[in-house]
Amino acid sequence: MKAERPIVFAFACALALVGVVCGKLGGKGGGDDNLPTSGIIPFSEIEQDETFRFTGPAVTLEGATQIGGAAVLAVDGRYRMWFAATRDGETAIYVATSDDGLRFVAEPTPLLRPSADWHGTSLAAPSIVRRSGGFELYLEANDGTAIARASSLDGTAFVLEPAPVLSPGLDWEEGRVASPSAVLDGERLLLFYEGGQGKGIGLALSEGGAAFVKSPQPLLAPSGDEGRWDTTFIGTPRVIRVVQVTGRPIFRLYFAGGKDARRSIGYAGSFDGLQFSPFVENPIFVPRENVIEPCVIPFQSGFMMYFNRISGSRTGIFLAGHRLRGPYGPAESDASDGD
Amino acid sequence: MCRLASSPGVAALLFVLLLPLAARANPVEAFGFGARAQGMASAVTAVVNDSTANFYNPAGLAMTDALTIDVGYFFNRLDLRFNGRGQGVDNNSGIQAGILIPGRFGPVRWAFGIAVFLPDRRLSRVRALPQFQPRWVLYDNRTQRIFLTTNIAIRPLKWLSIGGGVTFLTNTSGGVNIAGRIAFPNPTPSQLLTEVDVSLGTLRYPSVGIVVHPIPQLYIGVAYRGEVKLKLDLRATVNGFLTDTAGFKTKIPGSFRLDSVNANLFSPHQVAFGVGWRPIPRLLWTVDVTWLNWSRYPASTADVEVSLNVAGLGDGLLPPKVTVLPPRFHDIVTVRTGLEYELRVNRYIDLLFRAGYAYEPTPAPVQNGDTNYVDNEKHQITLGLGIDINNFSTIMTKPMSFDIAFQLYQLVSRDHRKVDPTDIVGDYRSSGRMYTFSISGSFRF
Repeated sequence: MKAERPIVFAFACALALVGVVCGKLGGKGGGDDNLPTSGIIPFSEIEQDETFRFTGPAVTLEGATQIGGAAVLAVDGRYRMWFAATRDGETAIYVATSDDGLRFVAEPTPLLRPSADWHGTSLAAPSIVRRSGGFELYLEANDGTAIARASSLDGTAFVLEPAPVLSPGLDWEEGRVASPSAVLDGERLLLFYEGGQGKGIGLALSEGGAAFVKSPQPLLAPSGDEGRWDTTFIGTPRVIRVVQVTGRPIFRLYFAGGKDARRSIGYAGSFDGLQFSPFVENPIFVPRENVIEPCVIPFQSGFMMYFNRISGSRTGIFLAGHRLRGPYGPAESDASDGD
Repeated sequence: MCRLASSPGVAALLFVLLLPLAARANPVEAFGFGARAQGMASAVTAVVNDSTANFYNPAGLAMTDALTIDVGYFFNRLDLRFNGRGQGVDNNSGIQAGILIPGRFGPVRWAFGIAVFLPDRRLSRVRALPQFQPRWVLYDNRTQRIFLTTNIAIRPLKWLSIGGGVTFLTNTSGGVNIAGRIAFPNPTPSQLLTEVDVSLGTLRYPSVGIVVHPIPQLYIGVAYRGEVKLKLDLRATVNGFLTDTAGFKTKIPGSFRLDSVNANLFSPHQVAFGVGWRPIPRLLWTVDVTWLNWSRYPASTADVEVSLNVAGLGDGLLPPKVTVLPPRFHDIVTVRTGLEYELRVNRYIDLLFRAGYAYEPTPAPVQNGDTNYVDNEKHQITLGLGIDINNFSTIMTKPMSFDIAFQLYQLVSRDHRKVDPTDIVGDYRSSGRMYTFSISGSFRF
């Protein structure tokens, strides 16, 4: 009988273990938090997102008939937006600030107004770049007759240069250079712009502060293919340069594309800033209304897109988010300039 | 010892009784099995002689003449990160247990063993992610399994032991069949019959081993474990008629079929060669070299086939089929070494100090394309402590042991640089650490 005790004990142990295990089944499994992302797809409008409970627009300005062209930067823990607004027939550059990146409060007086003949009545589509401790704003002047530049040491008071930094001249530009997007890459400055009325995205390079030299052909141009989304229009580029965690920089180009009057947002990427590959599943953001001027910044755990809605009952600057919640976890960290 | 315990009839009875507890893969491959072995970085192929021999080398079952019951607990913490941020990969814990029943056929010793790992958080997990989604491919569901293996061993000569056994796994297949009439555009009057047909089949894989003990100081062991490929087959079929809502005058026959096949878990063929050496009686040094056939690893992404057959509607309504890319894993060789030093405190107490190190290359290539099956090479450092209590009672005349072990896995940071600048994941860095702690007791009779 003594010999049977170990066997009985073994069975008792086995039964007890099965009981313990079956009594503690797990819940939802993990493994999906903080997944890496390029910020390409999917973007969804913030106003349809129950987490943020914010319907936009991101900024309003009393008396303005048109608002657009957002350029957003995280500065000293706050978000600063430069944008264009039309009041009393004049389009000027304004600045707004925000603590949460969603709700911006605009300064009522313009930061920069058209002041030279070649500005006409419009300075628009600002692009901001930080350089040598200061700030530079690149602006579309007079609906694309030239691109202007203004500089500031502290980001609050800007001084416009008297002459354009870029003017149309290439055939494909059809006399128009618009929607500048400036990106600093070491000592060189890359200036992306829209040529003509959506005839493509051009690139001009400035090495070490010298004058801009244009690439003769557009980086991206309308496909002309009736079956595609970008048949007749490619424009309003917004480029960000992000140093990835591996130390390799990547240039992310968000732009508007379309057919006839329809406008959606597409994406192209590049490792050198000179040659771009369009995303095969373009367009990446197709809301019901027409949208242009997509400014994308790293935001919390994902990306935020500030876009200009140009059709429908509500126009202006609105928001779309990428991986700000859901299976990739709630937003936790502050926005930064890189991944 | 005990006649009943050493009876082949009892062994056979145990074998049959435990067969229905079919296991579903081998989580112990990831972190080892048993506190003693884990304290020596699992470098025990040549020297294992308790119930954990069921996993490491079945031949080791016959290296002892004591009926042994091992019970322990294991838990780990996985701190696995992309770009320095954790993915919340599930930690794992559970009960490790086993029994070793020795006996004799005349001059030939034999032994029968069963070992089980019972996770206490989740008995099993199925994941079929899109291939572009980054995942820790060897840890996000590999460790959440019941493990059960049964083995027998014989020792025909004093210096030779041979063993082998089978591990049983379940394989899931099945689907949903729906038949009837679907009204369009108002679906309310639809009439559908649903039939669910799921079966849990059985998979088996073998393990065999040999231990040679030519001189008292030297142990040599070789073990083979078979390949396991756990598939999850799901099928959905809809057969019937598409009708108009008013009067069902229009009847369009049609069918829809979806087949999804997913390799849910894979453990490769593996051959372990181990050596144990006692330069002095109280010191044991072990080395294991293991080859793992990871190049046969199948993609752990669902391969989905969808077909639609409705008059007037073509397959153009369906999303394009996603091509499942090969994971391009390669075979690896791991190296493990362990030390065990026995310190006699008094006639009742022996202390055993253990340490180990292992290097495990990763079978997964750098993920620079459309797949993101992530794994890193690992350095493993282990520490263990055991206490043997001798002459505990008149019933338990053989030593009773209690062991604890700690393991640290340091993952070598790895950069995944994408070749396509429009890759939706982009470059990322994988890194991390894994910690395990285990405790066990061995009761010998």
